[in-house]
Amino acid sequence: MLEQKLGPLRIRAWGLLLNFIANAAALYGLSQVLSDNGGHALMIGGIVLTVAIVAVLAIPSSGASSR
Amino acid sequence: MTKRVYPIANEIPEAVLDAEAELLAALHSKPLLIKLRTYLRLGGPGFIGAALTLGAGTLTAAMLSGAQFGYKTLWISWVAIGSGLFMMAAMARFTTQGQFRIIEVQTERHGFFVARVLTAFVGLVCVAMAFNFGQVALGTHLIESVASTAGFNFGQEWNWPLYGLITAWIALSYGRGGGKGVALVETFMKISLLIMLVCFAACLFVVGIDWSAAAKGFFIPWLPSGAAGIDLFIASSAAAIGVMDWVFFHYAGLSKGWGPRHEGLARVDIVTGLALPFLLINFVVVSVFAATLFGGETLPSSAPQLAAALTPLLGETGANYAFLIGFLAVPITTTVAMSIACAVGVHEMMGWDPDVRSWRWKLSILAPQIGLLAAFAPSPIFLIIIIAAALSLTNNIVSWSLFLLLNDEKVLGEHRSKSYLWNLGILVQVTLLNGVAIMWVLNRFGLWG
Repeated sequence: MLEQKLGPLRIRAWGLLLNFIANAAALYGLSQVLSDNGGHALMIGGIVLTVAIVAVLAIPSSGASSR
Repeated sequence: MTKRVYPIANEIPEAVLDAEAELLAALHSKPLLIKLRTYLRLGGPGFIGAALTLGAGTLTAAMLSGAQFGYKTLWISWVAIGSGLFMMAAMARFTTQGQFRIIEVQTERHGFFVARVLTAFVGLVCVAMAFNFGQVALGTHLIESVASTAGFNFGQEWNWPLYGLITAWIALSYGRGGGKGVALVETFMKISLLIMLVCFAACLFVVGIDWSAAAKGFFIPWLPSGAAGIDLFIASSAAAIGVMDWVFFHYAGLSKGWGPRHEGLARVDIVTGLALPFLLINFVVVSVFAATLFGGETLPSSAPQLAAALTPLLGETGANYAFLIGFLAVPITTTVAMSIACAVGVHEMMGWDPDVRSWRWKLSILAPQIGLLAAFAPSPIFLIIIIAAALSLTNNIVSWSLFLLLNDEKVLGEHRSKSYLWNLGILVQVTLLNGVAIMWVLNRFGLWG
């Protein structure tokens, strides 16, 4: 599944890009929280998304789908 | 002469590699001590990797950490090296089972820019050229300090040719003499790491250690509060192992002619050659500074200032010498390793086969010696900042590429990663490296801290 192509990239590569965006959201949210400007929702959303994406991306390729 | 994946290994006789493989296969039934001794003797790329990562920057960070926070941040070193081990195991897989040159495969699968620009040019060549200024500045300063402690004057403006000659000679030996040159550099790294450890441990013996605080700092995570703590954690944990360490380990393994039968050795080498020296030397250096400068009113900011502040506190002349000599081994080994990494990077970037007797290889190895200018002129801070920024912003993209290759059936076939835990470990490091890039941007726009 993760090795299937979706447009120009494999799903696993899209996942890495999405992870980067989630990391950015979490850290930007954290910077807002640290400066008392809110940002809790963004930080928590980013962290949850990061954990979810990493958990999915870590699944090894079964082999058959990439042939 | 046998044609191998990486031409530096061509001159190694097949019989030597067969004998190594037989020795490794027979190790399963041997006692642990014999296993360890054999692995230490046959390993090498891991030790060069330790020399690469234990440079002036890492050691200065360790000293500052000890002086500023005492023993409390000791735990970061094992998180840093622990998260890096998964990617290093991937490099061992590419070397031994993949039997290809990683930058060539990256070029085919992920394009010229990721492979030759971000990995070879930024990750190897630019880093070696820019960061050698810091090694030279520290190394020549320490030679001056050793001479001064011995009662004579041998200033930086005079001792830089000595520094350049020693480091250039050792680096140029790499790959010569049918494997003997590689063995010479590896032995030099092993002995130098031992010197660092023994010398810093001797200093620690003199100043004493608070074992209870050290154990607490090593096992119980603590960070300063606020943005500074997050900054310290992400920067320290992601900075230990990066593109140069990953890629150089791979090419150093290929230079030894490592194949499928060497994967176990490569993995042990990562632990005993890279991780253990890194952990031990970091532990000792942080502890020395925690035991002496922690709690003081003024905090030195550079390695020479830190060394100057420490030496009177060591009291005995022997301890002073031990500290200076152990510390001198740090920039010398890093310059040697970075010089070889630079030559590998130049050749992979251009798609050239390395020939250690060619002027092309020799010039590529000597290119980082431009850093010798740091002995009598200010380091090009602006250039170093630009390269450090480029590295912060691209380290993560190279890690994405390597993660994808490890999971790519077309690249590794049956040897691709089949372990959830292995992938998870790499993704933790990828996420930390993403954090470095994102924080650099947030800092740049004044949005962090």
